[in-house]
Amino acid sequence: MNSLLSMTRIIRQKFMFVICVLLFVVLSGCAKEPIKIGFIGEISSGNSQVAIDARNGIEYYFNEVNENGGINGRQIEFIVKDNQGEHDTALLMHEEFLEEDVHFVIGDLLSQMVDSIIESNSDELMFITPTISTDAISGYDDFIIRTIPISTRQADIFCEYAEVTGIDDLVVVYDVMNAAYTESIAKRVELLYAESELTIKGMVPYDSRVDDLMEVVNKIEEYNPKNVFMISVAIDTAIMVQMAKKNNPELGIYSVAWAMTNDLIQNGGKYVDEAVFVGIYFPEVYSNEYNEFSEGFNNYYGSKPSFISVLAYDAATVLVKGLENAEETTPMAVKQSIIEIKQYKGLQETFNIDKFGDNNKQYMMYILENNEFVPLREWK
Amino acid sequence: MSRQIMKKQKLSTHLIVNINVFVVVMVIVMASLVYSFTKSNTETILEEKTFDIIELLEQEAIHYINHPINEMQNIKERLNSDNSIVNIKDIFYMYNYLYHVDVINYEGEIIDTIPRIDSRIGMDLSNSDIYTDIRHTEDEFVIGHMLIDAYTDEPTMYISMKYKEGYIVGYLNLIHFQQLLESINIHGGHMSIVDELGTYISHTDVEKVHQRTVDPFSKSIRDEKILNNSVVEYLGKDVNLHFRNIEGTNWLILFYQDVEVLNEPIEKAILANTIVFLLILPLFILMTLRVIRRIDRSLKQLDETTEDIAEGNYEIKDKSFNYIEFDNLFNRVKFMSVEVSTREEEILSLNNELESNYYTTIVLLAKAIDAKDNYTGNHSVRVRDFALLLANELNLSNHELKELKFGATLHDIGKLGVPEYILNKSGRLTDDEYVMIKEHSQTGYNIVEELPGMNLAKQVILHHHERYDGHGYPYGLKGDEIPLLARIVTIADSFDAMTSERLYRAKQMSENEGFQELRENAGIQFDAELVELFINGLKQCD
Repeated sequence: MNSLLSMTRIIRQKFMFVICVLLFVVLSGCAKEPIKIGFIGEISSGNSQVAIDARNGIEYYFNEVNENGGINGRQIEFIVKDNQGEHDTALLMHEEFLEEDVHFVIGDLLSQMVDSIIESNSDELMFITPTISTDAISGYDDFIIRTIPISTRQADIFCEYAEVTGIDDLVVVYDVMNAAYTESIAKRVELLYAESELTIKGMVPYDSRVDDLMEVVNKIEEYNPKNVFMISVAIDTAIMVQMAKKNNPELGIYSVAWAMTNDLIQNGGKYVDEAVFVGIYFPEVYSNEYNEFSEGFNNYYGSKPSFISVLAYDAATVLVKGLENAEETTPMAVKQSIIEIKQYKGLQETFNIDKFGDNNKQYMMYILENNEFVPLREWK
Repeated sequence: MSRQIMKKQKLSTHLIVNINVFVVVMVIVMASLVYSFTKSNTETILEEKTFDIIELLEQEAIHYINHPINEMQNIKERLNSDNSIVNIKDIFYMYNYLYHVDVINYEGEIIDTIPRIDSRIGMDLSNSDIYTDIRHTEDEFVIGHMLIDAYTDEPTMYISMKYKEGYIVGYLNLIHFQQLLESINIHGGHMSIVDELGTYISHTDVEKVHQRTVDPFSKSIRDEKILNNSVVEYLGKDVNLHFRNIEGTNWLILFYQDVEVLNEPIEKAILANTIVFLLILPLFILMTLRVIRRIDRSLKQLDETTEDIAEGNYEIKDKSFNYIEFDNLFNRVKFMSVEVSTREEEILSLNNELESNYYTTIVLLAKAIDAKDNYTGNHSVRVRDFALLLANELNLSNHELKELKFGATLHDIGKLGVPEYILNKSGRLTDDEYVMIKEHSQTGYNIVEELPGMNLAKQVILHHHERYDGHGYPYGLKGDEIPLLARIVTIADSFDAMTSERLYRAKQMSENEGFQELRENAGIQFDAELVELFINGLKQCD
């Protein structure tokens, strides 16, 4: 009798279990739709390191968010697109995003692509750019948010540093392929140098898509400068530095945040040692968040995160916070939410986003020592 | 007890419900069996197939990686022998497993390249992973991780080797690995080869290689946190992840097999099963219903037959059934009916004989009563005849006729209790005597009360002196309260009294005078309707 009762109980328990499983299956079927977030950048060419670093930083962060339950219970579906460094391709990709019901895109990354996002941003498609620093989109009430300070601030701090340390007889080299970014810095440096007692010996614009770097270096050497300020991508910078320093080992090398990637170290050899860069501000003491991120990132990708990965992580943070607090997942509501939140805790510092989607982040000087970018804090 | 609470239901309903439940259960069981069988079968086949594919890919990959390594060995040997790069260019151009080769001195500076790239000559690679890796290893060669070749802008991997004056670094043309993957036919899913950091060297979606994407699971695989053939989500789909280390390298082959591929044959089997079931089901239901209908019809016929027998209709027509069992049952019932009929006839015959004897006794008794009264003669028998005559007009049942016959014959039996001098008194009766006369109805009833049956006849004896207007005796019943048979006998008794010869009366009434008398008292003493029926009946007899 007892065994009969226990059997009945077991059958009932099994029945309940089946019901629960069925309920679970039914309820799982009603799981929330994922939020699609796009990424666009030049991710498959020789200039792709910036995009790769940014993509990895975002991918790492989104994996974390998804593991912790997503955005208000919705998982993130990360959709990566390659603009191949071309304006028209970028526009095509923007259309694809809309067709795929993607309304939030992290990117673009290079200032050369700024026109494409100016053209496409709307209350249907919002961009959060971690790296486009051109002044061209500052102060506009648009659907572009950025987490990198504007590029002319790089010129300002470089010139301050130049005055303090006496960087004279300078040649400024800049890649017109990314003119929106490079030219604004170059012109600003030219202007500030003109106002100072320091001398610019020459301005050397070049186009990385067509020009032979050897010829660019020859042009630089024609000015016989003591110092060169290179506003160029990492690989170009590395190769040009190698070429220039072989003939002139004493040449002072200065460059910008754009060049601060692993490509520079891999390809620059011993010649890029002691080169000085204008990079994103980095606090003296690394935050716990940064340390955790850096360790996790290194563990996952096999290399430490570059400053671009950090900027991209911050950009993704801004978007996720905005989405979490928005009343609905539309660019208008999210933009409003991002502006309302105002203050964000980035990996390295706390920063503000103003009503135009611009931020108050700062730059600082770095020196490359033993394959590491070391902050220069004492020169002031 | 259990019989009392047992819920009764129709056999056909019971059969339909039970058969359908059985069919549903059988279908579920069959579907489960088909599912498990197909699943296990498909899993085994796919597992074997997957193993074959991965093994094939590994062999091909090893084969392919040996080509550039051999090329590098060749260059190395040439360099070691005569240090003549010019001489080895011809070898290099014969194949295209390498994009280009750098020759680096011990300081990390490029001293030559194949083919010759002037801008690279003199470049310092001392800070690069390429130089660091080969410099610090005791191995014969090092296969590096994925990077974008600064010279070709293509994704590449390097192979570096030591030679007597430095290092040679070859940059792999990965197109071969891509072609290798594309040549393998995988049904649903993705396949890739990843380097030691998990970056795709080749992938069925080539964009993943160009974008230097890191595989989300390779780290966990290397940390042994994921087992082979685990189900994971990859590129928005549930997949079975198979992996294998390529011998002699730190590379992994990853095969993401869509779970759908596994489910496809199972779904097909279930679908086929369902279609067959859906096709068979109506046929099965029709056949079941046909059988159930036949059984139901047979049972109904049997039911009707037994009902007929119950009603005494023993002449059963032959019926045909679809099933032998029902035929046998019917024949038994039919035989039983013949038996019952024969026995009933015997019983009836005996009963009639008994009844006849019984009635003869009754008539004798009636005659004894009539003999006690000097005036009445064969009054009881005449009253019986008149009553039966009237009864014929009323279509009474046999049972009622029999009761009437008995009641009418014995209606005056109570007179046995009335002294003869009163019965035969020619003068006026005193009140007491009249009372005694009136008591004969009740006395008669008391006499016959103990007789078994004959209930209607007893009522006739008790009430044959009731009047239609309620002034009769013993109970003063009126109208339809008086039993029908008693009302009949009242008329028959009175008519006979009027028309028979009585010693105390000078002249007896003629029939017509009797009719007149009856009509005059219709509705008063007699039931008017019965009076008319009686007169009609008697007239017809005449």
